[in-house]
Parts: sequence; structure tokens; C-alpha cells
Amino acid sequence: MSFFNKRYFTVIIETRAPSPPTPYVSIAYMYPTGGGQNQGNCEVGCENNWNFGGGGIYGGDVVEIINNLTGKANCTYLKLKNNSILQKTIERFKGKTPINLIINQKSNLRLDDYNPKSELVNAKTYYGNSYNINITLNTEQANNRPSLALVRTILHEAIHAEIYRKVKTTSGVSLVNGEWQLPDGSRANFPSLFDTYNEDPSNPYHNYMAKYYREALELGMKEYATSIGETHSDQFYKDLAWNGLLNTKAWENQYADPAYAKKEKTRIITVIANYEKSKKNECH
Amino acid sequence: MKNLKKMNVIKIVLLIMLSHSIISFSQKKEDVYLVLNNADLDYYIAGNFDLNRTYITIYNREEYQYHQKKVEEAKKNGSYHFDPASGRDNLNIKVRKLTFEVLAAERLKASSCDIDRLNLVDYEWILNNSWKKIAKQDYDFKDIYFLKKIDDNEYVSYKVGITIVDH
Repeated sequence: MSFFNKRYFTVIIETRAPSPPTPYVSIAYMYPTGGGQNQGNCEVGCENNWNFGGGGIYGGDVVEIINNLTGKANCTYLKLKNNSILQKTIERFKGKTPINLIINQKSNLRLDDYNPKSELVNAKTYYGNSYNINITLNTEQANNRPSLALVRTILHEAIHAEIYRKVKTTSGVSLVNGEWQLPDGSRANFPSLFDTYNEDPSNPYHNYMAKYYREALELGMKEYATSIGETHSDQFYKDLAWNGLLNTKAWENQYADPAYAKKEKTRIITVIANYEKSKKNECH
Repeated sequence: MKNLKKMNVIKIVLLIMLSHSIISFSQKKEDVYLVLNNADLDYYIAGNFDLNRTYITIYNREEYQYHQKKVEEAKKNGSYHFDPASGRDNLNIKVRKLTFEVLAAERLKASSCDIDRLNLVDYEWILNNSWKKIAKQDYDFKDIYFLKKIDDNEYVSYKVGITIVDH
């Protein structure tokens, strides 16, 4: 209870317990110095290193991945857990930064859960002002699409979390004229993040993901599909990776001919829609 | 002589401690409170205000209403498309909004005098300051509370923190 509450509000009728306290994290985790792996030095290397080998980097279990999934969503997540791309993403949350990753699901997840007029979405990632990043999956969307489509969603949201982890551990974000921007301070550590983020202020995270993480998404999906005995063409994985990223500058800047870009966009949307309707989540 | 030096050192240490306390006290950050008002022309918030609410999104009312009108029109003529993967529609209309995570909630009794004595802020303040904690910029408040009147002298109080949402 706040100072003012104690002082002025004499009667508390009902209360909801606050969120679980954020685990204490030493400043050394946030800004490692000397030796160790400094995430701040990673920059474009992070984008290029999605395929790199090397052992685990679990420096300590201060940071946690909390899985609250059930049913088909959980079944898919557990099968995906050993996926190298998801591992690479999750490794970055373990022992290197003071940010927890919490994975939830909710029935009929909407753009604004308190507004029945708002549309249903596949998933949401919340980047709060605590040390928690929350990913919430839409239960029905998880159940009624092929597991590979859900895998794309999980990887997509995990990459959102990873991008925000970078932002959070460096400069944070500022609100300028109603749009989030990275302040100049982030340029030193993450120049490509800085430039790409501010290039498309209405859709900065997707713009960055479209430019630097599509290959990771393709590889992650291919690896999962292979593990469950599905085979698709490389073009199929490329198309699927664009899902959710087609309204970005990165997409617009791909083609000089707007008519061709529009045609290609329609083709990709059709491929995705047909696949998503092809079967329900088969995970068991 | 040695004792005199020791006394001087103690005096200096005490002086530093005293100055530090004065500076700390004068810079003490206070909680800020926004009393939510459904009739406010500047912003719009959807949904009920109960203790189970986990997020509060504040929309720019004018932009929100304009977007809703265009959505209805586009749905009527069959041109509306919403992409559940990106969380965006094909209208490309900017609707400014801020989303807050509810960190704690409680129902409490408070008179209008109680409310007036709080460190009250308005929507403009929220737009200009509420995000500064995640921007790693200087900020001059402790925590943000939203208060929603639900009955005579009865409020729901939400302790909130700004959050970014993407899809």
C-alpha cells in the first residue's frame, strides 16, 4: 500500500494480492564487466549468430522461464522446447539478463481484452516495467491451427521478447508524439536495432524482426516440422516466416515494383491462410 | 592533537550524513494519481473496472472513435481485413494508446476531500511522463495509481506500470 493510501484512505474494502515480487537481481547481471559474455557487445552478431554452435551459456538460474501452458499449446511448446532456435532465444534469458519470460494462454485473446469490439489475435507479448516479459497465446488459435503454425507464433513472440530484452538492457524506449522510439544512447550498442526500430515507428519490432530474424524463424519451423515428420519446400517456410511481418517497411522496401509487391503479398497471405485451415493442432 | 583530528573527522562525517539526508528528503518521489473519468473527452478506456482487471489501455478518444467508424464502414462494404498474426488491420489509421499492467488492485473508501489531497495528475501528464521509467530517463514520481469511482466515496485503486504490447 502506498504512503498516500495509508495516510488518507482509512477503509480498504477488498484487495487483490499484487503480482509475485520480482526476484532480486544483482546489477552485475545487468551490466557484466570484465570477462563473461556482455550482451551489450552482441549487436548484429546476435542476428548473425542464430546458427552458431557452442555450448550452453547458463550462468545462473536467477532468471526463469515460467511455463503456464496447458493442452495443445503446452504439448506443442514441450515438443518445441529442444528446438535450437527457441533454445538460442531462451538461453539469452538465462543467466545473462535480469528478465523473466512468462508464457501464458488465454481463451479468445483480443487486441484489448476489455474491449469486446476489438479483434481476436494469435498472441501478445507484454514488455512491462518489471523484470517480466509476458507471452500470452490465444487458446483457440493454438487448438485450431496446425502445430507448425503455432510454432511460428511461439517463435515470433519469443523473438519479440528477445528484441525487447535488448532494448531493456540498454537504453529503454521513449514515447515521442505517441510513438515508441529508441533514444540515441542505444545506437552505440545496437546500431542496426536503433536504425531499424526508428525507421518504422508504427511497427518497430516487426520491422526489426522482418529484417534480421526471418531466417531464424524459417530454420526453427523447418527443424520442428522435420521432428514431427512434416516436409515442406524452403519457399513455404519463407512464406510462413513473413506471417505478421507483412505490414512493415522491411516488406515495402523489398521490391521496387509496388504492383509485384502487392501480388507477392497476396500470394503469401493465401499460402498462410490455406495452411492454417488445412488441419487442427495434431499434437498429442 | 590526535583527539582533535578525530573529532574533526567525526564532524565532517556527520555533516555529510546530514546533507545527504536533507537532499534525499527534498528529492523524495511521491505517488501520482489519475482519477479515471469515462466522460473525459481526451481519452477512452473500455471494459469494467473490477479487481480482476490485469491491464488498462487508454486510447486517444478522437482517434479511437474515428478508427471504429472506419472499421464499421469497411466491414459493411466488405473491405475490412484484420491480421491476427500482426494485430493490425488494413486501414492504417493511427490510434494512439498506452497500455498499463495492473500491479495491484484494491477497493477503498475515500471522500472527495481525501482525493483532493492526493498528488493528482491528468491525462496530459500520463502521456508526457508515465513511460519515463522504461525510458531510463529522469522521472519525478514514485508509482502511478489509477482511481475509478464505483460508488459514493468508493473507488477501485489500481497500481499500474506502463507496458508495451506487440503481437
